[in-house]
Amino acid sequence: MDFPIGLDPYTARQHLLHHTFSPLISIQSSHNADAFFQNILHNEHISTSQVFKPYGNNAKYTIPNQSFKIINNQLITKNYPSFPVRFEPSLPELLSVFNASSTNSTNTSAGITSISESGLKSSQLSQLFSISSLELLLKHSSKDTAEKDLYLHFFNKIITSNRIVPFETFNHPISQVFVVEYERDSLDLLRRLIVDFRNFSFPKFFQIDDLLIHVFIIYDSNKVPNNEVISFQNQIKSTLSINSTAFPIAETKDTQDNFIKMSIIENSTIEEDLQRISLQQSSTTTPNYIHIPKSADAVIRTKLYEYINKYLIPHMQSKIRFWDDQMLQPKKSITGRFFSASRKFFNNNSSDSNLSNVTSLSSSSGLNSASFNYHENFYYKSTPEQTIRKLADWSLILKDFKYAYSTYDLIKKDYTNDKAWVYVASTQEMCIVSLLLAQTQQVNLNPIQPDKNTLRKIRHDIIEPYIDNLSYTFKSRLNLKSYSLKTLTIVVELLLCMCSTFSISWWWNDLIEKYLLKLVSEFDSHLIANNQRSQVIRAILYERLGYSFGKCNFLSDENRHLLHFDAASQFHSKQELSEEEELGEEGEIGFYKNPNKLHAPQNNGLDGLMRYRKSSLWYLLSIREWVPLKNYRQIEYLLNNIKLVYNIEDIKDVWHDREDILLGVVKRILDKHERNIVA
Amino acid sequence: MSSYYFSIIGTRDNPLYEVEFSSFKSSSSSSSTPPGISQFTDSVKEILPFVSNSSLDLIEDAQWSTSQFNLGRIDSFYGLLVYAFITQGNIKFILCFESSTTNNGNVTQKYDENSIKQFFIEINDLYVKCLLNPFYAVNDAITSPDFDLKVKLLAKKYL
Repeated sequence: MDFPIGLDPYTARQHLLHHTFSPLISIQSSHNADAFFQNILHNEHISTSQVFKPYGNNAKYTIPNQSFKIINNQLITKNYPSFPVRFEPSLPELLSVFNASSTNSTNTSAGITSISESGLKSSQLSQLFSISSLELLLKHSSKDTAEKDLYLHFFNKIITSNRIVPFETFNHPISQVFVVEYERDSLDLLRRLIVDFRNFSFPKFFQIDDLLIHVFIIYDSNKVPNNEVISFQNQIKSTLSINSTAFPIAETKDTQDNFIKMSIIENSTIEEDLQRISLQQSSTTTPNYIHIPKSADAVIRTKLYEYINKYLIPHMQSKIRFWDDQMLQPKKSITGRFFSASRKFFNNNSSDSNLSNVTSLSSSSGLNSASFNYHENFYYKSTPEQTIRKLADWSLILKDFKYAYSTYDLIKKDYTNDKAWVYVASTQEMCIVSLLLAQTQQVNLNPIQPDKNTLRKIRHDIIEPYIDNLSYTFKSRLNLKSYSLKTLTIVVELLLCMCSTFSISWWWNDLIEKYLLKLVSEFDSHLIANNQRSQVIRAILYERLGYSFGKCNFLSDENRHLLHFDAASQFHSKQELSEEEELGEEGEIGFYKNPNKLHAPQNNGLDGLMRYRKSSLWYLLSIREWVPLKNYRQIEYLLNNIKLVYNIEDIKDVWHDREDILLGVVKRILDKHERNIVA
Repeated sequence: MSSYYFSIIGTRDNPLYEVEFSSFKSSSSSSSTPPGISQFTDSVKEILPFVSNSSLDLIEDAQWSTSQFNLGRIDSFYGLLVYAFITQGNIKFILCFESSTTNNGNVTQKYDENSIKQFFIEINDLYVKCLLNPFYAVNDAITSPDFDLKVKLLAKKYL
């Protein structure tokens, strides 16, 4: 029996891979392409990127027999059933949004960060997400999200971001796609778009040379013959040396059966969601769904599949191989090690002087001693440090977790030597994440439990010190609390994955509890400082605590069969076995039977090996947070998760139903609510 | 001045006896509150029985790893410390209290632990006496006012 009910950590892991560690592709469309889609979809408010955005999740919007072939650095080929990508607006657009919002936020939060501090630290780095907005959004969505999905919703919002920062490259676009319409857009227009794009002043940490530039050509297959488009593609190839993919989309008749309803709110961030909600409240013109003709839907799916398999993945592979060759191997070699050692010992003075003399971006010396820009907190785009970080990120995206881990581990030392704290923290995060992802990658059905020494190393040498270190860096050094919150949330889920794969709850349970409690207190302290109560977030985190304890079992493999539930009875009611069972054959007439004898309770063999009662306590606390919000559906759902420990059906004359303690109070409130509904 | 919640839990996880009180020590300094009355807030009060109940999971885990009856501190929950003792008859004594803020934490804690142990041992004596009563059956609630008074005297003596 699946008890307690809650989000499977593997779903969370999958969402993590789909929404965070997936290639970001920025889309820029011509005006005519937008008009084309508006015409096809009979919707005047739609843009090309909105149409493409949901299709990025090709785990959800699949084509038959899809498989993505990825060759890793050891030249081992693996096939994956899905390889989601994220479609976002083009980089200049994204950057302008962030610049606008960051100037706003620095104005408002000036009271919190003292001016001298913020001057010393980077003025660019801003929070990953706003905790108050998250609370607001969750409060809103708790009304209409299914009870079970609320934690997933919370998790998704925390991990989804399109913020471009120097110290991690997951949100740096891997490919820039220009969408043009064949009939009305000319080659000149395309050229102009590309030139404009290239002339944009990108941040100094962003390497435009790594970008895969690609063109999507959209045309009406009813009006334009195929060979014309092919010649156009050849023309693009010869004049601009850019590859392209053609999308033959035919207009269909206006019948409802030929359309597919698609959600356009895939992968949205907290701010986007809040904006959408407030827009919807003010007007009714922005629906959450679009209707796409079936034929167009099929074309988009297959062509995107083709693009990913034919251009995107090979591009990433070749880049990774190149970087591995040019940057990583020299570093690993003897001479590389010698140089880095000499740099460590002889370069202390120069790194100090870096603090005072602000920028020395490109160093002429081969040692790159001054590559880190202390003033603005970034490495210049062409430095090996920035590139190797990208190499590690990309190999993680291509699901080579072990290679990614070793690369992160290697580059971390350089960052530490340079005192590039934000890079150190972010790399430590990725070390933990890639390590846990590698551990929880299910290759076969019967995974071998890692031995104690490995576990000890993972826990005491990697996870615990790194988490302490990175929370300190993010919170105290940089005032970027939200990043450490994100890390904690991710690590908790991955640890839960590990617990369920290898059934080693005894090893991780206390750490999971510690991190979840840390999350609760961090969210609390932030929201209290802003005169807001963190009810929903707290309730959600308590629920997760309950789940993690409920899933925790300390049974050894040979005793697993003892675990059996009787859904009707309570697990810990210590119901005694019926007398016949107990007495067996000896219970014959004539024998003296002591009526006061205590009988062995059910589940006697499991005493102390499960944590259901502890889990119930957390669920009860979660319920307590929902009571003032009057979210009765949520309360009932959570009550179901404590049914093995407490009687939840009716109010009885037992201790936990007393009217002065929590469960009794909740039950009476629910009872009153139900009677109100009936009346 | 710290507040305490003491409960005796039967073999079916049912509470047999529970009492709230606060330390009688150093109560003279704060004249506003009468000594012995617990200072738990309402929000803590309504979950105290559940905190003790949830610590049973840990008690049942710890009881197999030690030969002692006094299990010491087995859990802490948001500043509430949980101490436990298990009798030969599988009855659990659980004491939850809010850790007091003292200047020299270590010394006091050591002292606390010893006095809690003594408290548990004498409560066990009391419980055995109660069990000797022919009209009392295991797992019945303990309603004797005499028992209650003696527990409170013990609390005053040790905590």
